Amino acid sequence: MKPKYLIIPLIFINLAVPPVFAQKPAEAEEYMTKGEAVMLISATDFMKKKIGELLSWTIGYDINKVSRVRLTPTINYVKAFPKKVPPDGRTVLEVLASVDDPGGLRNIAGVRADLSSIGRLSNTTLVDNGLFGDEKAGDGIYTLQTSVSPQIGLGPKDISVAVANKKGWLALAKTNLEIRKNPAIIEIRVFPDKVLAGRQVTVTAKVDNPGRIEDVQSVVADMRTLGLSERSYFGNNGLAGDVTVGDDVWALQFNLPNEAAPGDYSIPLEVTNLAGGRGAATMAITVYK
Amino acid sequence: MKRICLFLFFILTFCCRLAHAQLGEIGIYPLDLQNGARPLGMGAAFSGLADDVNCILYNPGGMAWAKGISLTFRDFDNITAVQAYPTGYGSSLGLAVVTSKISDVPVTGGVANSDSNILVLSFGTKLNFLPLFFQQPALQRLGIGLNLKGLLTETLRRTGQPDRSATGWDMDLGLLWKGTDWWSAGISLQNILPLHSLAGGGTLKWDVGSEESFPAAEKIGFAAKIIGDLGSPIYREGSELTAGGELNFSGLHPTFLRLGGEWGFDKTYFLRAGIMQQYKPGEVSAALNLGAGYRNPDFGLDIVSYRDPLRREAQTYISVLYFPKEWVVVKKLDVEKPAILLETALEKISLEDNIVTYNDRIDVFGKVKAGVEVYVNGLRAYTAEDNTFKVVIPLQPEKNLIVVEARYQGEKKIWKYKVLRKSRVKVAEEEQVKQQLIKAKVPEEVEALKKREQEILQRRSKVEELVTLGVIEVSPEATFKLEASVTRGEMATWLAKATGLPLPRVERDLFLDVKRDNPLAPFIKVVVDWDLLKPFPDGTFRPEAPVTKEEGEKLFKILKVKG
Repeated sequence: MKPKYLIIPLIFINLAVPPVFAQKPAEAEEYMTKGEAVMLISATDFMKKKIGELLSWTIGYDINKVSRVRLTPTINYVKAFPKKVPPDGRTVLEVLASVDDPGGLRNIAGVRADLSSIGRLSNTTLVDNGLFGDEKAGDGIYTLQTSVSPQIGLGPKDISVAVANKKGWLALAKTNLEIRKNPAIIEIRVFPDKVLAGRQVTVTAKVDNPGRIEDVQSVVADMRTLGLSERSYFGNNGLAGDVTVGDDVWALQFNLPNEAAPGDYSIPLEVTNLAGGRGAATMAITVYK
Repeated sequence: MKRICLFLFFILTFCCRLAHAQLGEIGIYPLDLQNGARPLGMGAAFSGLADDVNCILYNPGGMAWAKGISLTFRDFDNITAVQAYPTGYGSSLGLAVVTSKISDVPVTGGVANSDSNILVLSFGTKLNFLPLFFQQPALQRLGIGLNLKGLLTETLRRTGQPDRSATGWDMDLGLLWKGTDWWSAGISLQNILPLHSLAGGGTLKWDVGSEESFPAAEKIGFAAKIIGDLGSPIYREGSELTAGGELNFSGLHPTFLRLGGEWGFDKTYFLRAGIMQQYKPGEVSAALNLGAGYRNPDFGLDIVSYRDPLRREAQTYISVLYFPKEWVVVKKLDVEKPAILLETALEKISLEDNIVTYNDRIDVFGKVKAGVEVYVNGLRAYTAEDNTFKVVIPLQPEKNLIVVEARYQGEKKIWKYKVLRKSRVKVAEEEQVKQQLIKAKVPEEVEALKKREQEILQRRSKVEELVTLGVIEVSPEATFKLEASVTRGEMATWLAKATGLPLPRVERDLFLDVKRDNPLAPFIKVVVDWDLLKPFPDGTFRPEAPVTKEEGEKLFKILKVKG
């Protein structure tokens, strides 16, 4: 076959088959891309409706769309110690607040107490640094030491504590205490039960003192009716019938005179404290023959 | 002792009704003030609602919260002007002037005409100045009010009888209890003074010397915003339905029942309807009152069609209201006691309405007036000494509503802000085109690249919408490739999520290559069950295989999407 006869078939072949370089990549031709899929899904009626609702400012903004995530710090408890404090400006009052936060204790920005009810600053800081009466740093228990101003009237008082976290949220709680000046004798016991003339007698008196028990100045009994001293002092030193040193029980030990006549006696007792308060009680003793 | 006093008080109140005669026999009760287009539009069942300045006429207990001016007129002879001035400390002073003319009332032997001029001085308070009331939030919701009502002139003209004139005064006592944000209840004791009490109080003195008492009335009302904003039993944005009811007791007539409702749109337009029982001597009638209203922040307009029981004719009342924001008796209080104007308690806030953001949290900060407590989404925000606050709110995907409340002395004002949190998606092609645009120098090439960039942005926006709606999952760190082929597994997942079809429980292997524990199994089952994607004849589904154009076309043809 002569070459000139081959030209025509070759021309046809060249026209029928496009050159390789002119073809697009097979993948792009045959497969759907993610972009195309997204556009098509978005064009479905149900997605158009959902997207329309998503972008609408008048549909769907109801109470369920308010975030209910717990963001505020927590106050586990607030305590004031002692619960009964004299308004003497010197008895140490401790306020403790145990706090926590959804973001951890490091997220606590500060803890403050409103002490205006006891005559102190309305914005006093509690600390958790192991100092100023705080037992342990970083344990979430914030502490404040203060005292009650002498100008404050007696009665129940509230101390509110606020804790703020670093995201600007606040939690509030409060505790109460009683401002009281006068101590009270709340229990009197006489040993032995059967008191006989000429025998030893021990009397104990339990004292409730606002503030520290150390601030009780004296517990005195007027024993004149029994033929003894006008001012018989009770002790809290572990001696003469007192069991424990420094607790809230005072004791007085004495020998009942032989000439003490049988009968019922009312012995007045008085307790005084350093705040200038005083309380009275009566001890009943029956002397047997 | 208190109980005995209360008992005597009620006995006296009831007894004084019996003496009423002259005007009462015609059916005219000059100190029975029922006015204001809005209350009348609600069938005058207003003593339990009493939430606008017209409360002076219905229940002065509402005066504790009242502010503004209302001018109601039917014609030039029947005009009522009511005003309430907040004094701060949860109290308001009120003043009302009522001129009324009732003409041609049919009576035995002719007609009667009555002209009256009435002055009302009112005071309402939440008793904040009492420590007990100040400290108890529940008591902050109680308003107590007192009216002194003076009948300056009353002229009565009857056919065949000489004209007569009279004067007198009496008192009203009202209590309004706003139980929650959506309901309230009230008691209004009207004309409470017995005859000849307190230097002529409770007594209508005629010029000819005779006297009669003003008939007392007791109203017990209840109102509830059944549909409304946050806090209402049924939340519906932009509209609210308030319903009210009232029982009206008097010795002159049987107990009345009054019922009314108000439907509001966008806090701007209002429609009202009410059934109002009324009395004229020897007859109790009931009429349907219809009203409408318009409000903007400073002004309001109300209209009502009301049926007069004496002449049995329809009358139209129009009220014009004005609500000045900064209106207080002592301007200085605005600084010292910000609660008196809770509308202005929030001085600055970082939010604006309709915010679109990609962030998963938003800072809310601003400033309030001194003493105002700020709550955001119901949680208390810390307010610094300079009265500023700043909190961080986490945002959930899609829609978020942020509710900011300013609270002071038991009152609160709410502001709402809508925030749409969209999911941000990084698209690989967008970065490529940006780089190409930087390098491109030929204008045609730049033009083409810009067009391409626009297309990519449009597609990215669609991807973000689908990601926000949870149809597509793209982690924040991942990059989404628009040009990558979509696999059959991905398509199955996207379609199942987009259609919202319930996902079935897969208890056995679906295909040779889709075991029952395959995380895509429920999605694949859905699309196969609905014939959206077909498995291969060899018993496989090939979730990793790309979706062909042909498959895609068929699929979206089923979903009626044109390619």
